[in-house]
Amino acid sequence: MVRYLNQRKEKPVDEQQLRQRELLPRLDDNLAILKSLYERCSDFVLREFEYGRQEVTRGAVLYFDGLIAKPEVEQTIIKPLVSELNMMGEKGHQPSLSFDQIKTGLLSSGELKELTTFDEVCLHISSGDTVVLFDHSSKALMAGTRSWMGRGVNIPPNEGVIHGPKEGFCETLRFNTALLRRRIRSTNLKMEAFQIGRISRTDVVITYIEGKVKPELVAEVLRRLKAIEIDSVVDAAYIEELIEDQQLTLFPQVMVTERPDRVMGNLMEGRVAIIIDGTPTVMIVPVTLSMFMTVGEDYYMRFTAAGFFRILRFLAFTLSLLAPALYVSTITFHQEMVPTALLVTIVNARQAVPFPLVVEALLMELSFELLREAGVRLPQAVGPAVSIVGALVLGDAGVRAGLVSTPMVVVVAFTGICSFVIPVYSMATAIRLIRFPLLILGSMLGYFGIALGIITLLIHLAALESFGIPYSMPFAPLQLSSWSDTLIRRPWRAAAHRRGMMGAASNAPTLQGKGGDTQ
Amino acid sequence: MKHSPLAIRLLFILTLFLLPLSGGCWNQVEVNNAAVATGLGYDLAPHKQVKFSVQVIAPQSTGSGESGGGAAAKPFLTFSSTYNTPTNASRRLSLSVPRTMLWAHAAVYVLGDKMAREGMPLINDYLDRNRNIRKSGILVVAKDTEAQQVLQAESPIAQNPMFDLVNMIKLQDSYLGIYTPVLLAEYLNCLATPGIDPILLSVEVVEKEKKKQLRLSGMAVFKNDKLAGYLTERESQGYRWLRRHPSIQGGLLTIESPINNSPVLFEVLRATNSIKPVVKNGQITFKIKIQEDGNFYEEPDTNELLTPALIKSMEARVATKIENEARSYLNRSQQLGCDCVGFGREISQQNPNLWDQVKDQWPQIYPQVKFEFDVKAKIRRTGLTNNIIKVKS
Repeated sequence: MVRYLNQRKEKPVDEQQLRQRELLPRLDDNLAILKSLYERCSDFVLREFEYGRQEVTRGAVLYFDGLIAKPEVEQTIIKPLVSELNMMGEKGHQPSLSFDQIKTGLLSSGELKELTTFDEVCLHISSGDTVVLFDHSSKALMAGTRSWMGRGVNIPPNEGVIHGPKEGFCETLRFNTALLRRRIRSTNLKMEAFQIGRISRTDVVITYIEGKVKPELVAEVLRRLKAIEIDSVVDAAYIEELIEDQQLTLFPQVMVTERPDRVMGNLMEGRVAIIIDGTPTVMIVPVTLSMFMTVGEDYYMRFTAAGFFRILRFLAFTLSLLAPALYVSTITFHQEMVPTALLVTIVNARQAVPFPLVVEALLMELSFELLREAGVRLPQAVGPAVSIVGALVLGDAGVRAGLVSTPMVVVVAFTGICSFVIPVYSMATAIRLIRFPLLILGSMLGYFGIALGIITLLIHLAALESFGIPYSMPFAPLQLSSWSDTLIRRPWRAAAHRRGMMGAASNAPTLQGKGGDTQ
Repeated sequence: MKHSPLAIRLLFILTLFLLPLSGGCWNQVEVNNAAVATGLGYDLAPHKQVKFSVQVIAPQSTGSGESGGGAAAKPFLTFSSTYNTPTNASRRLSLSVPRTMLWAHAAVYVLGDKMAREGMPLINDYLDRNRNIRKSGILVVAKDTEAQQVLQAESPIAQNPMFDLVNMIKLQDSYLGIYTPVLLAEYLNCLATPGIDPILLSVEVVEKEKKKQLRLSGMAVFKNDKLAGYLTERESQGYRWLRRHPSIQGGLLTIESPINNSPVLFEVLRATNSIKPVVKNGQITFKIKIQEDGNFYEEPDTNELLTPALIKSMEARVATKIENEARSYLNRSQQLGCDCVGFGREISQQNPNLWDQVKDQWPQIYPQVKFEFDVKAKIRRTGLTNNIIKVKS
């Protein structure tokens, strides 16, 4: 489909060549080229003006309607250029101002920059800046006037917390960098910007804290990002897939979050965040498995409660992975392990069920996944309908009709709840998928099969790396010292120096007022 | 793997997934077609055959959402089949019963009286070797009846009489203190250990309100692997004071009041014992020390018993009572020639040289050995009050 829609024409090649050219001294030539570039672009605005009495000089203001703050452009750019220049000319002091004089003395925009190529001009106009061209000048002036309608800072919809900040990232890159800058007011917070995407030219900012992060990590992130060859970046997920270490895995190798406090915490630990324009999430690299079990709220609660909830999450992780497989294999192979009374209950519940236990489990798991997927995709108005169908038809009616047994409904529901406890959605998805092969292994080989599956999984996890950091870090290359902030959360006083797992030494002042170890 | 082409890697993964398939679903049991066995029984049939009986929980469909209506159905079913070996007999059940049996859930193994008296060699190997027989199950003897009868008796209160039996055996040991629960593993152990004979709990079938029900009744003492006789309640209590394992934690004990011979009840908290063989002039004597701690529990009369002097005398009476009970067991066991406490084993552990001399004639020597008792009883607590309630006149 895409292949038929994408017709490669001659024009993009022309455009490419035109854009690479330097600006010409004659305004008319420049305008002709720009007009041809922005042919059939109805939102492109070009306002020509003249100034000077004796010696009339021409100029032009270019911008995209809808991307700029109109009053600001009119007040700080067009008005000074048109009226004040003319007035000056009347008094006869200076018939016309030089380019530099206009730049330093006339235009009152906060952000002003000289441009020399068409490429720069085009990029800035499409980013919402206003560009002013003058006759007899092969330089253009750019004024920062970006302002468009966008979603503001909102409560993060998918990573809710009870305590802690309620701000979430939005689609506008500048807001997102601001959210971080406001939290870390250090000169060491670096934000390197560049563009990815041959056509979309999406702004990308990588941010890190100098002194906390290993320089090689930053270099590696930059190398991978700059190696990306892609037409457009619709969402951060495009970049995620292109920079991850291992393609053939179900596990996420990049942490995607919509919470600035989470990014801040990870920056402090020496990680690098990648902010992409147009995506309301920020990516964090490198990641480890245990990161997906933590939430920011762990650090806002008392450490005792936080430790309990973390262990609970690890338990939920294990159970959502294994519960159906364990149930099926125990009941079909290892009945002697079940307490007799429970076994009798299960035997009785299954008397009328016409399917083997595995089939029943697969049916229920699949219908649960269907319900979940339907719940995400459905328009909000029909949402309740899905829950009614799910709860009544699949659960109650299924049991009454004798198609499924009640213990299976309980197991599937329990597994579902466990999988919702995993705080990061991409990890929960991975677990959902791994559940099925484990279920089939368990149903054919019993606990032996599950053990095989787990061993395979562990080998895979041990082999995974994310930007040079082993994926199952504090467990697989055993690093007991990190466990205090993995399975539980150590109290702040105990965290004398937050030794970054990423390898860089900490120089953060501690609660005792001592500096940490230096590099 | 890391640098091999994608196709080879995928092939490898595919092979991994196919591997378990090739094994098939060996040993798989769909619980719809299974029945949960709760008790197994072994009787001696004519011509040295084994009658194997099994009690299973009757499957009842609870999934269809209809409630009630199942009251009339029997909560359990008993099947039996007879053949030359126990496994053969049990598998021949599949000729008439269309369900896979989940043997491992059986908590009780019942030996018929006849089987216990004559045919234990027929099933000892089976009990020891078969992986479906749980060594932690409780082994009982059907007193003067067939194991099948025991498996057909009904539960007075719950669904399953075998679960009841296990509960009763455990409950009476800590609440009442008459009989000693014996696991299959302990039976097999006693069979193989020199100087000790097996002892098992026995169960009888009584008729109550036109229903056959189970009742714990006595203990079956074995001479090697043959049933020699049944102990009475008093003798069983006597065995309990002497048993080396498990240690005594609980039970009741009645003495006569030092004032007027009305019954006074004590609760046993714990008791420990030690047995020491001594040889004097060729006569083997066992010095038995028993140390008992108990609570004064109740007296049905109005005597003020808890004075220092009376407490001393009651302690002495408790000690005498324990000795008498123990002696009643010892007399009986010497009569039967069954050393179920394992006095021979004590010799072999404490005096191996002596054991080497006596081990061959131990069954003949045991009835002649003498016992000396040193029983110490202590009254620890007196319940909620020291004084008896004074009824106003």
